[in-house]
Amino acid sequence: MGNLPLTEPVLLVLLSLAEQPRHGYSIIKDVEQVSGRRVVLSTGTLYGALKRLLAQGWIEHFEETENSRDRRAYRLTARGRRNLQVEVERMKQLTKVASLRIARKEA
Amino acid sequence: MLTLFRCLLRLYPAEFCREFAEEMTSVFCQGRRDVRHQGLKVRAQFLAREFWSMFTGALREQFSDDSFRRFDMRSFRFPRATIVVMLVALANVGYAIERAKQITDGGDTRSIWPPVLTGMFVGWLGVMGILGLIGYGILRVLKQSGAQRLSRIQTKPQL
Repeated sequence: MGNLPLTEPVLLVLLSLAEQPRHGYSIIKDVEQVSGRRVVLSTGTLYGALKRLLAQGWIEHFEETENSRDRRAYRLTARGRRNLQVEVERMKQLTKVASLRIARKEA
Repeated sequence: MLTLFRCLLRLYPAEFCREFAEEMTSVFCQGRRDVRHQGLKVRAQFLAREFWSMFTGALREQFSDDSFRRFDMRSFRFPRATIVVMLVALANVGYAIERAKQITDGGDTRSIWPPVLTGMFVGWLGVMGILGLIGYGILRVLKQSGAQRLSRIQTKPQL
């Protein structure tokens, strides 16, 4: 797949939405927490990424009862979840190979 | 600060603003509320990060593939600065014609413009050149950061 590996901010946004639908500010806070405050998303970065993910059908708007224009939620689509799984599998594979090589070198 | 944020929002393409401007403003306000009681350094970092990302994000959106694809000549309008640039260009053409006439006639080949105006023109060219280089630098940094890869996201995974 041409777009993998994903950039770290995009991967973290997808991970944040994998758990539950979230609003923009909630995504920023969750990404900050998941990355141990190493990645702090700014508004411009977040919405640039959300726009592209929406256009590609990886995420979608989540309709709520109290739906206002300045507080919309987003959730992962089936396609987004599938792509996230592919990326996580790729990272697992890479981590496995890296661990083996490091262990071999130490031995 | 909110006014500056809204000004930066105007740098984004109109379609992007229609879709996200209200949400982005709301998120910015929430973030500002969160850092309100923290130190000056934290607040300064927050504002610097937000404004810089708005500026670079607007550039990225303006030059994204989608924006170029959506470009419609019928709805295109030249910016107001074009009038100034065209007037300067016209003055230069007039000047070049006068100089050519002087040289052809074998007359006085000294500049018909006072040195101050010539200096201003050269200065203006210099400033435009520097601005062009800065713009080129920003686009190059954006390209190297890999931001454009987001626009090439594929929809189907290759399993």
